Amino acid sequence: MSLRRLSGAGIGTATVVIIALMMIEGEESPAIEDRLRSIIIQALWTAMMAWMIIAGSMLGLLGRGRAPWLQIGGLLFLSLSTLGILAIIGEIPTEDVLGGLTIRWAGLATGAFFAIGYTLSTLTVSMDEEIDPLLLLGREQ
Amino acid sequence: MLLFVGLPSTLTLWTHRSESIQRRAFIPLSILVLIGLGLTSTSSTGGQVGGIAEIGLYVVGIVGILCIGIYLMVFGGVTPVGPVPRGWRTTGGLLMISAVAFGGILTIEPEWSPLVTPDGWNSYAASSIVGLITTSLFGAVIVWLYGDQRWMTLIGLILTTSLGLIGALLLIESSILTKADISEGLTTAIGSIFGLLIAAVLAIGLMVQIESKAVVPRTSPPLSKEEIKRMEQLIQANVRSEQE
Repeated sequence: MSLRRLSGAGIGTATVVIIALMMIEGEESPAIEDRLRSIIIQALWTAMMAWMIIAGSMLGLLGRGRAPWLQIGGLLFLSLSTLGILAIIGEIPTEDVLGGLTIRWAGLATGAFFAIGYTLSTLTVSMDEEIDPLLLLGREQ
Repeated sequence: MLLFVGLPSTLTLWTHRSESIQRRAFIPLSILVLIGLGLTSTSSTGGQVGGIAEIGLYVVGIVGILCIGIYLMVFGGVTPVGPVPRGWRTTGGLLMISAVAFGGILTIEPEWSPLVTPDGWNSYAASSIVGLITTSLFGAVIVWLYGDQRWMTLIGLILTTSLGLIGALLLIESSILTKADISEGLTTAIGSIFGLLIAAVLAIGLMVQIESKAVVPRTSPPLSKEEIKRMEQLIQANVRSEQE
């Protein structure tokens, strides 16, 4: 499957999901500016944490020359810059906000995990039994 | 502290290589963090963090049952690696259903249930439904594009998506979940996906930039005539001894 088809499928699916869930929200759907602002802020929080986790995961490479130092420094710089941007726009996450965000991330991950697990299990159910060609040869003789 | 420093730190340790000290420290530290979360939830006076710790413990239970169920379902069937006997597949299916039922009971909170739903559980349930619908629909599209007549998987995923949507509507109709919960879940899902994409693009860009400017290691000089002659002698000697 080509990357082009995959990205097309991704964008199409995302559109359908957003429309379906916005229909569920109904009149309580927030204004588009509010939603965009909220999405951007959450994207910045996510990116900040992802950079910190990547930088932490590279600590084991510190003894391997100058490049890992630069990469860890660069990632921490990106993370702290994001924190700076959030401070400028007055959106530094408080304990309550981080708490709510953690719960929602856990929820999203659980839902996605269930769907992936279910897909894998149904795929293995529909797999045909593999017959060893050597055993088949023995039977024919 | 445990929630916002402990959990990301253990996640960071898990990303290290399996034979490293950091990875070996992952399991004992994770257990310590979970025990700490448990103690926080029981000793809390109803604060936000205590609530989250309580939700975290229920989530660990649900995800644990789900993991065992999925493992038994996947490896109990026709797989190139099949460490689980065939009969366990049904048990795996039952465990997956139990995990969903456990989550459902906590969400609906029926009168006969001895379980007390922690504060903020609705937010978790709404996000789970959003995650389930999104991933199932995306999975259905992938399976459909992949072809190979995997109808059973395709129908299953479409059914899961539909059940998720119907479930969300029913829970809203019965005032168990609010539209705001679903709305927050959707916003977090979109924001998180965008955030991960931005993080991945910038991190990869940074690494490529740094690696491309790294000093190229010195290469060894080409072989001299004497070395080539010596190599020929060695090869000849080996070939001759084999022929003899």
